[in-house]
Amino acid sequence: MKKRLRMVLAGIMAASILGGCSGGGKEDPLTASSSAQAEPQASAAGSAETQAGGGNKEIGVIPKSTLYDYWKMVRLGCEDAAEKEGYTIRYQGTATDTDIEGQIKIVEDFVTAGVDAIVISPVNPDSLAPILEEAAKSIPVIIMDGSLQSDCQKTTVSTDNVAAAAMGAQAMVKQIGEAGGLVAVVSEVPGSVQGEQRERGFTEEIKKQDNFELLEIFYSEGDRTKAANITQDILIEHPDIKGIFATNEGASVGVSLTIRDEQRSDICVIGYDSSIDLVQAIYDDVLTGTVAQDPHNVGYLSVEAALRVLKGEEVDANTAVPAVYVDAENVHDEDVIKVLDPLGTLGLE
Amino acid sequence: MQKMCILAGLVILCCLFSVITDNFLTAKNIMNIALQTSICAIVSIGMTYVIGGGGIDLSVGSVAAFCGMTGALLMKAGFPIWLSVTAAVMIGGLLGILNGFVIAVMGIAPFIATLGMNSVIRGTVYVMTDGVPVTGLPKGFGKIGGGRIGGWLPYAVIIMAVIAVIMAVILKKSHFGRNIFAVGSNEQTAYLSGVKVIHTKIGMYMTCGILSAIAGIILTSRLVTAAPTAGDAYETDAIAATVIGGASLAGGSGSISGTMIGAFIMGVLRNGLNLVGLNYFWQQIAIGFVIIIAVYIDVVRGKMKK
Amino acid sequence: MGEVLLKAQGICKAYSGITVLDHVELTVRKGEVHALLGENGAGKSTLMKILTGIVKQDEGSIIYRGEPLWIHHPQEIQKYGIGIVYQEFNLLPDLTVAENIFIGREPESRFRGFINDRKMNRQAEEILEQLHCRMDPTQKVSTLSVAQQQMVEIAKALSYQCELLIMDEPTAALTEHEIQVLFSIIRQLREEGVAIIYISHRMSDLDAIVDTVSVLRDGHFIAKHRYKPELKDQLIKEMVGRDLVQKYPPRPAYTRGECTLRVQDLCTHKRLKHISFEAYQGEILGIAGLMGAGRTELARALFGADPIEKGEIQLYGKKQVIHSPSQAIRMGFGYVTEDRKRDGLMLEQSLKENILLSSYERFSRLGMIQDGMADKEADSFIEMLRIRAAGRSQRVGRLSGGNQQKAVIAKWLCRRSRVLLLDEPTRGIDVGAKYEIYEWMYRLAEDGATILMISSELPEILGMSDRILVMSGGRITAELDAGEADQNKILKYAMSQ
Repeated sequence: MKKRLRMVLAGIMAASILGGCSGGGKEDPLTASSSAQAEPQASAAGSAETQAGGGNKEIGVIPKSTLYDYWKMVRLGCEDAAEKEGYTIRYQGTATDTDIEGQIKIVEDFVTAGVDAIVISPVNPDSLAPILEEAAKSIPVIIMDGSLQSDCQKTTVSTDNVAAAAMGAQAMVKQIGEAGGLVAVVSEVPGSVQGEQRERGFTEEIKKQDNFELLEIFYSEGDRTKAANITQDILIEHPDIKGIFATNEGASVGVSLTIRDEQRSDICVIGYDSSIDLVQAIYDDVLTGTVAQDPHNVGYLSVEAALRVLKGEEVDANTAVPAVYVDAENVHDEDVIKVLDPLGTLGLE
Repeated sequence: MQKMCILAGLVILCCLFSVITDNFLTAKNIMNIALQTSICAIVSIGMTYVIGGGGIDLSVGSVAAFCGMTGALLMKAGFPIWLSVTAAVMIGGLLGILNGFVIAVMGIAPFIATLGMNSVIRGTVYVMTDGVPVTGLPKGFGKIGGGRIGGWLPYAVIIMAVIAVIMAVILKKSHFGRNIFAVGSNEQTAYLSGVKVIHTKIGMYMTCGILSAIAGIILTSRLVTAAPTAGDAYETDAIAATVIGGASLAGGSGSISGTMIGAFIMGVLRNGLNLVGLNYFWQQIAIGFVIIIAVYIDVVRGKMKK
Repeated sequence: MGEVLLKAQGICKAYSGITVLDHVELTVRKGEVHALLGENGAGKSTLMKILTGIVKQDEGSIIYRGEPLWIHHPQEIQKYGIGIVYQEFNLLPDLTVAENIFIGREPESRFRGFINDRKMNRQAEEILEQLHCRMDPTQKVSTLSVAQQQMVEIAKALSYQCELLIMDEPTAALTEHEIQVLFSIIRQLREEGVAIIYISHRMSDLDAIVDTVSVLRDGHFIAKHRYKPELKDQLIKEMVGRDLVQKYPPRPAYTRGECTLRVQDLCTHKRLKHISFEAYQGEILGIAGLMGAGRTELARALFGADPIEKGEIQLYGKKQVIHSPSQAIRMGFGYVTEDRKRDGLMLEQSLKENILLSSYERFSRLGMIQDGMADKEADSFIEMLRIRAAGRSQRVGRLSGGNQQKAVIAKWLCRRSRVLLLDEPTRGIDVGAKYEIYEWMYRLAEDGATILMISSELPEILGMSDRILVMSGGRITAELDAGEADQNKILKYAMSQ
């Protein structure tokens, strides 16, 4: 009876708050934003219902941002791992990957809502420490794809950004050859730890080479348009540029857009992360290659680690997720496709 | 009268969330909401002064970031916490005076002036730090935004409450407060009645700057990091809270109590929707509707009066 | 004399019960310049608004080109060939001359919805040439002199085949030379058979161009004459000639006190030229003049609201430099503005806020207002001035005009101002409230205040003042004692240049 009342009230609320936005009630709001690939899940009302039972069997997952395909794939990995053990995922994130305050609020609210564990990709390693330390007193905290200045986390699951970027650098050196030349880095947001690691991994590897020269690092805020504009500027300023390395999906797409427009396939462009746009760019020979992380695996391993902690098992302090270098040669391989498209929605062959 | 209306809205919202979720109506969550709202509320109080005086300040977010950043840098340079915080708040006041000067003396429309200042100040923050967040602040500093008295009452909430009371008294009872509303109601009348319009305008922007700085300090303390991106889009939240609280963008009206209710409506909504598990994107939509509905109710009431 | 072009008969118009036009008639023939004379408020503007379709008459008929004139929308006057040049220009300052002339009917290019700029500029040039006016049609109106803007207005009226041209105070803003150019244009138009209705306060304009005169007074049609220069005195009498049965409170005995305000050779960039006068304690000094004579500018300059170019102001024998209203107020000035809604009141605020606005210092301790004292003070003024309102917290915007005006006066009484500048203190308020305000003026004067009263109503000036200054063209043209002044005299000085 009480449950029924709750359902009704939830309906009323959705209607009243969303001001007649009927989608809010019927469609699953959690997936409404993505391309509706995941099977329908707990709706707003439904999740209230699951809470009523007390033992929620629920893992809270907080991505760095909700805007990119990458995180949708992470989410799928999380869901796959949780499903095995009969858990559900409560997925909530901020839109931008700089919203420290918003992420803290989500952590607080997750703890209040009573999740069993928190899997989080902190937007800033220092700022999230106090609140996560607080949370870690009662539930396990797993860091995925990022880092935290603390020792409260049970494990940190991530791609080794430095090593992965170095892999990209090696691929570029191989492509350009002994002659070398001028290369540039188009990074994301200044001050982002992940960005800094990728910049470092790449530049250190390049500096080992004699004939290569680096421009200063350009910041695109991970925005396609800005990255495209920056690339245009680079091409005008340095028409003899030999290679460009982009440090995330947005930057990589932006760079390849300009390369395509300017028909400069002579330039070696190495991207980072993967998406349909980047895969297409590889098909079209605009992008030489990309350092693909395995987001599905990141999510999967993170939740799996959380579940193991909940069962009382020990986990290592660091869990490395291998990155994959994708170029025209291996882009059609089955293994690679699985990394590029765990959702199976891109129709890659 | 109008305040009762929005207060009722807040209460209804709280009732709905208490029934839908198990954890909304717990002491801990209430404190969470108060903590989460405190920063927005403090900025909104400053915004109420400016909007009451017929202006607008789009630079509050970057002022908050700037002052949080200067405070952090001073602390990193080895200055004591109290001195760094005081200096940061004073810088906020100076930035406000600068805003007021550009608007009242140079005669640039507030919207444009503060839009420009917003960009200038935000850019300066990036330049100052090369875009990198400043971390490693002294442990004691973290108490301002993160500490709690007796383990449950956050300092930030106390600061918010004290500021709200003081600023409400100043706005309602002081000569300065009256002058703000006079300038906001009819600048010409105020001028010809002996109100020092330029002083008043500079004063209200200074107030807003000081409060933004305090918010910036609390934010920095809470994050234990001075992030150059901090305070992004604060102006929209502050304007929304002020307007929901009954102020008119035309100036001449507004109250601190109303603004506080407005800020809490938005805080409760965010918190409640997080608890319900509503996606962030849908939250944006819900909040947008609430702002429009709240102001529309006011418009309808205004029409009915006539 | 040409045939009759326009014949208006029995025109009546009332605004919310107050009759502004009462069976007015006007007959205009082709190729004549027809002057319409009357004091401020005689009904000239309303009559023109009716002719151009901006307002509708309650009664009466207008025959134009032998047919009834039915204008549903002000823009239709173009269709009928009626043009009007307003006293306050209706030009868009950021558009070019040509764009202003052809606004709303720009020549289109081959593509519908797009303007053929070249054609438009060429046509504009042709029209301006007709007016012997050398002007670049692509120039922005904001860069033009006032006289040039006047030309653009006229060009706009002529750009469609205009048969009837209405000109409202066209010479008010022009220099002597520009006026002569305008007159030659008017004569040229008359030759071409255009009828012109010419509204002016300047009697000197009449000699140069006018053929026929109609006089309005208080909404009534008084007379129509073939114009002859000898008629001038008679015309003034007809414009003014109302009986002075006004209701003024009995004037208390007045003895001139000490000199409170002495102004010497005051000039401002805004119109005022070499103003010198004195005002005394307990005196009501009336300031008469026509619209644009510089009366409001004088009040604003004294009050520190407009910058002073040169000259000296002495208050109680001491030289003062006044930079701002707040300074003037501290010295004892109070200013009841001409338009209380625009700059006298805060309409959205309460009665209390409005009354106390200038006096908060008196009720503050350490910058905090003592509400108890403030409320009491506000209440006492509401009672004293008999302001009819629901209470001190009622919004001023909802009060009647008379009560609003009392609130403005209360503001200065509360501030205890000793030199009051009253600009049109009884405009737009009913007779009862007027009487009460007059009583207050006397009471304040008796109390030792100095009152400068600007008014466009001559009976008010004559009925209330101890002494009268008449202004025209930014100068004081006469200083008259109440005893020697009459309406004809004032009007003569007000129209002199």
